[in-house]
Amino acid sequence: MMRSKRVCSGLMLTDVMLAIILSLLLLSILFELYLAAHKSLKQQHDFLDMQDNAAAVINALSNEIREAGYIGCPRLDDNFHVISHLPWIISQTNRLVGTEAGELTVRHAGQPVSLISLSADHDVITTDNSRHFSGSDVLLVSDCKHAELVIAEKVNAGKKTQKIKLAQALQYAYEPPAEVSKLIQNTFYLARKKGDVYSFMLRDINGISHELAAGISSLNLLYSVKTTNAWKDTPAKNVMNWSEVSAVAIDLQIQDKTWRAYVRLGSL
Amino acid sequence: MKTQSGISLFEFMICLLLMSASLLGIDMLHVTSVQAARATLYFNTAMQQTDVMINRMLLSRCENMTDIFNQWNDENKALLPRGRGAIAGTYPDYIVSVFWGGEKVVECTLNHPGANGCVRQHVRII
Repeated sequence: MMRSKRVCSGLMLTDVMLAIILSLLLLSILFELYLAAHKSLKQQHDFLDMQDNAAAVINALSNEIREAGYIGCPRLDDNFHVISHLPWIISQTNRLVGTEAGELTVRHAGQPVSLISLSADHDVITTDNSRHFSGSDVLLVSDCKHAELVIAEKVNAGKKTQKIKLAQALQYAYEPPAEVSKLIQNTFYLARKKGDVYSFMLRDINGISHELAAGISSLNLLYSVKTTNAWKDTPAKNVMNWSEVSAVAIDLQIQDKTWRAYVRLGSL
Repeated sequence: MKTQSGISLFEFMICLLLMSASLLGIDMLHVTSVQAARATLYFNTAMQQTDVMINRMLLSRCENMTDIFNQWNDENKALLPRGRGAIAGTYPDYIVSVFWGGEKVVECTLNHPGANGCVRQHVRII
């Protein structure tokens, strides 16, 4: 009786073991690579976030500092005073004010400005629509000789012009093309979020706070004041007269990175 | 007797080699992107530092600049790897340059980003 001899075509145990070992090796390499890629992506993402936050802080501060004291046609100085019977005032000594706590308040006329299109009554002005105003806005009305702060009581917006009823009568009669703008009074400060991480905040003229950037480690502001023969950067507590401040040195820390800027007032 | 039609060890090794090469390529991509991000940071920092110096020069009208220059260069050293700054020119036109990295370059003729680089900006004191 003949026995048939079958040829096995399946895998041997060693083949299977080798295949498993090599597959596991490959999988572990792939997994390591995935983890590395994920970590790298997160680092890049964090880095971009950090850059964005730094840019937001530096740009917001720089733009405001450059505009500090801008009131349109007239130039704010020790001899020019803005008339105001309101709780708000803008002058050479308060256009930019810092505090020991690190707050910085900047005041200026907001841009763009609208132009008076009809001779102004003492309590009604008509302007073009370059900028839209609304009731309760604090307005700065100025020609090249005078400037006044008033509150808009009611605004009737037309197609080309807007008629603004004022809550107070103007002291001077303003002829076209006198300028009307919103008074901007922004206070920048850091608010603690978690541990030693802060948010960069802006408080506007109405006392409403907005978060501009997060993840800030520290923000130091130094104010450049002219001494006898050089400009000196000094902290807010050493500034005696804020009208003498001509520039602000910004030192921003986010995690272990530092950003610096030096901004001159009125350099817009 | 049937011949086996599976892949041989040699084929598998070739496959592994190709896969390793592609994985290394992906890894290199990450390294390159991190290097590019770092180069961008250095470039932006150097630009900020030239801006800082230009604004200080404009404010002081280039008078009594020694202390300011030394302080600025200390900042350059702290913010950039082997960072250093230079001011060339005569009143009222100056070139403010910031260098970083290992290469010793005396003059910056063009803005050059990278691990070793430089930026330059012209300023006229008016």
